[in-house]
Amino acid sequence: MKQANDIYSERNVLEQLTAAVGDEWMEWYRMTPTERWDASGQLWEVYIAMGGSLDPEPDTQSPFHFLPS
Amino acid sequence: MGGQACILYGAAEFSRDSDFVVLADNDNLGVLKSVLLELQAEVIAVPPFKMQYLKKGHAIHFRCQHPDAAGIRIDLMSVLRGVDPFEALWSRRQTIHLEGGGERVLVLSLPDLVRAKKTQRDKDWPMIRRLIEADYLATVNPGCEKIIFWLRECRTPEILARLCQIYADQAHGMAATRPAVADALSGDLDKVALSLFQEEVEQRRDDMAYWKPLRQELELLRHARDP
Repeated sequence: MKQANDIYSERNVLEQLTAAVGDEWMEWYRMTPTERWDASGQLWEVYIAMGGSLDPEPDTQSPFHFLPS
Repeated sequence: MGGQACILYGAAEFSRDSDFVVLADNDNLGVLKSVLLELQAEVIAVPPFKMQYLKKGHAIHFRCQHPDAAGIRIDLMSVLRGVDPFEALWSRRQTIHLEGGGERVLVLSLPDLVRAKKTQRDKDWPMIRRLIEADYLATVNPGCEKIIFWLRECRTPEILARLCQIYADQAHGMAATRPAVADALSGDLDKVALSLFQEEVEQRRDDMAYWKPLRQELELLRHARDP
């Protein structure tokens, strides 16, 4: 079991992590897989409704960046 | 194995395609072809959908035309750099049951997904960090295997320092092979960050070297197709 301990106590680590990633990320981390899956699906619905493209974003660092858009 | 797997494990990626790692043998390719036929999926780029290309490590790129899946992109791969062969990945797969609809999603194990994400692309590195952070936060009673996994893959200096403090024996055992762990044991977070960056640089360089001949082959195929 993780145990609290001086300099890098669990509480301090969580505070540092929250400060580094922000509350939104911490909330995302604490969701269940199903909750994240559903939230992502809702984002997709909005994206598609707004006319978003299904083509991947151009990514010049990808080995596949020559793919047709 | 791509963005959807990352979402299930706790990272986030607005991925516009679905990536699958598949077994490249005759029987399975036969099954895949019938599924892709049902989806009216067409190959949209080189290489063609042939076992030889999957076995070399290429990805095959499809776009679905079926009205229920119109426009959806699918990428298939069978061999991933630095990752075990398909049979081992399959034996370690995770089945995630989605509440409500009763659907289940089969994804790479988290350690395999993390290894697969060590690419030349900027966007994959914060993803690895997120995946481990989420796993760390979600795990209450980590076993020995989990602790070793975190010590091997954690990319958050504060968490790595914490791990080294709690699991000092395992950390000392890993310090010789992972400089970031040795730095975390010394408590110097700036040095940890530098070592993590150096790991990333080395992995990105290795990934570029791995893809160089594959990219050359893709270029040849492309020129042969579109002279």
